[in-house]
Amino acid sequence: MKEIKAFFVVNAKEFMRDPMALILVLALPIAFASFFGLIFDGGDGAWTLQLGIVNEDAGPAGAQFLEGLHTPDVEEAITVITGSQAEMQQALRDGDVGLVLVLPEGMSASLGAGQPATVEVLYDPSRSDSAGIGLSMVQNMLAEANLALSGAPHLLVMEAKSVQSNSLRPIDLQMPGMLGIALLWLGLFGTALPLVQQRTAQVLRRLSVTPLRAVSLLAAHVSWRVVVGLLQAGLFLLVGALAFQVGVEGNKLLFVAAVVLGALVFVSLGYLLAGLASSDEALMGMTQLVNFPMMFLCGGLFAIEALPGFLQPVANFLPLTYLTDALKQLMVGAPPLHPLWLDLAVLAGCLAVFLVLGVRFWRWE
Amino acid sequence: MEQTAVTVHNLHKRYGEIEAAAGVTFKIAAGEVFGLLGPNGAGKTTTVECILGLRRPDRGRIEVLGMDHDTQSRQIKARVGVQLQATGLPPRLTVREVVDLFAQLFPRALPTGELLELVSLEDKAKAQSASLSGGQRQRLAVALALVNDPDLVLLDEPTAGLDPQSRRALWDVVDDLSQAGKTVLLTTHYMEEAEQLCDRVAVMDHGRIIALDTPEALIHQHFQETAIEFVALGEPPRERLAALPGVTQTIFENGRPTLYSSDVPRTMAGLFDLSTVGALAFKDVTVRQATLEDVFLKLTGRRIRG
Repeated sequence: MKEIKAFFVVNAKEFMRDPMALILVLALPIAFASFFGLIFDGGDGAWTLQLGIVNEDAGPAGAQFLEGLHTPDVEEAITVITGSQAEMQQALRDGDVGLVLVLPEGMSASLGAGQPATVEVLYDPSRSDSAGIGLSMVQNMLAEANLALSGAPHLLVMEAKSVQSNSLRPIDLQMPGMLGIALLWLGLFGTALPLVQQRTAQVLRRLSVTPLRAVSLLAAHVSWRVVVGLLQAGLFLLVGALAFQVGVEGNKLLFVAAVVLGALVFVSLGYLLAGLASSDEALMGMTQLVNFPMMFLCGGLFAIEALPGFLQPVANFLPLTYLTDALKQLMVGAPPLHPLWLDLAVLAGCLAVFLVLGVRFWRWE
Repeated sequence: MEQTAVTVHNLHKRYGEIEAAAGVTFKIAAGEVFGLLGPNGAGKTTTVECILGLRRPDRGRIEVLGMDHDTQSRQIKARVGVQLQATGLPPRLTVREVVDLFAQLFPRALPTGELLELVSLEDKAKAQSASLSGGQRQRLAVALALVNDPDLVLLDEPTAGLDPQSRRALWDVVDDLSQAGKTVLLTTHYMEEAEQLCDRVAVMDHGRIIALDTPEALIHQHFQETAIEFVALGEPPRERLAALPGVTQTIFENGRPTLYSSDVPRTMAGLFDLSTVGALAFKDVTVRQATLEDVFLKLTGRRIRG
């Protein structure tokens, strides 16, 4: 126990005296989040969806649908532009609208006859913000419209739900996304890299001729880095509160649990990579092999729906996808990709696997 | 305490084509200062690493303080102090912090201040380990070897890179350890050091021990003669040198003949005769008693420091 405590303190000192670690692990992620959040931000206040609508229906249903969008709540989040299909497709290509909804010809007639009508949604997957958020907003709208058309009293119910979704600005997604990436970097650059450097410098070899157990070293490394993970989260919340009105909307305890679990998962992964890599160079390769897919496919920087189709399933195999999803749900109430419990369960599973393999593949020299 | 501190019996270790240890056998008695000598690649490091439990022998048996690495590795490590040739130090810690850290890894430890004083690093206590000179690092490594007040101390080239004054100071440390009844195993390139410090030395070459005795006995056994050393200018006439009066052995190494003579005046006279007739040109003649260095040269055909 005392050796764990000693190494915990030593880790803290080494970290605080290592400018590279401080920059990479603490400063860079929050700087990225702020930067991306700011450049993708429209500039003033909330992000609004530019929704193009092509009304080919001559009957009352199409008009009623459009009418339903003329409420203050909806107008705050959605700007509706109407026009012909050709005009709207051009507008979509030019980026003037994010999504185009096509109300088909004869929709009123079909609905009147109790037949379903297919509403077409056109979107540009390269524009992740409007494609991802907009699609879920439109899905909500249609669900509500269905309810309304089937005889439920008012369209107002729909607005209450869509307001939650439409309050998401790019920074709202960048903050939890980059926090997840920060925890990943804590494992890659804040754990694996210094471990391999210490092994190359024969520090670990020297330690291996003392009674120190690998498990104790692991416990100390991991527990200190969980503290760093919490520091990272604190920093994100501080900057979020001061500059971007981003905090934790969901359960605060669950948020802490997700951060701790995330730090544990990626620090254990760092430990495993350090054991597998035979040299600095090998580690560099492995780090990038892990870093790039995780960073770009986890849904933290780009919405998963916005990825090319063949890449979307890959996201399901990345632990960071589940952490990002949990953090997004807990911080800004983003629409869930998976239920929260599933996210946390997958992370716990990854942790167990990484820990066992990390101890198994550990080497002192 | 055990009578035998270290037992190495028929140790074999092979790395691919290279047989690093080919049947090494020796015992170190408790309280003994034991030296392991040999040129690079002789198998010293492999033997030391096997004793430490860093390597598993292919064959053979190793016992340290009456225990076996397979079953009691941690108990062994708790009672052994180690100074490795290339010791990595956590770079961002101060000297005091490094010693404090190692102290926490053992069941019992000596006070940090006492250890730093022992290796004269008190004034560097607050310096970061990365800022130390080679000699200071070496001394810190020795302090770390003693942190757990070990029964067996393993020093791998402890004075390599030290200035003469620090080397003397370290010899005193080893003497104190010996006085306190500790067992010391050291490897060294310095024959003078081995003669000075070691109760017994083992000379290794090609993975085998080729001689093992007290330094005095080894010298006496191989050389009752006096060594005459000189630098030959041009190719020395080997046969004629070997045939000089009083010469019992000759060693030629890099144009530096060493003649071992039982009758120095007559050998010297013969040497000058050769010079007079033009058969040999030489300079820098040294006449001295045989040392462990000569034993080493004779046994391995090499000087220990290339």
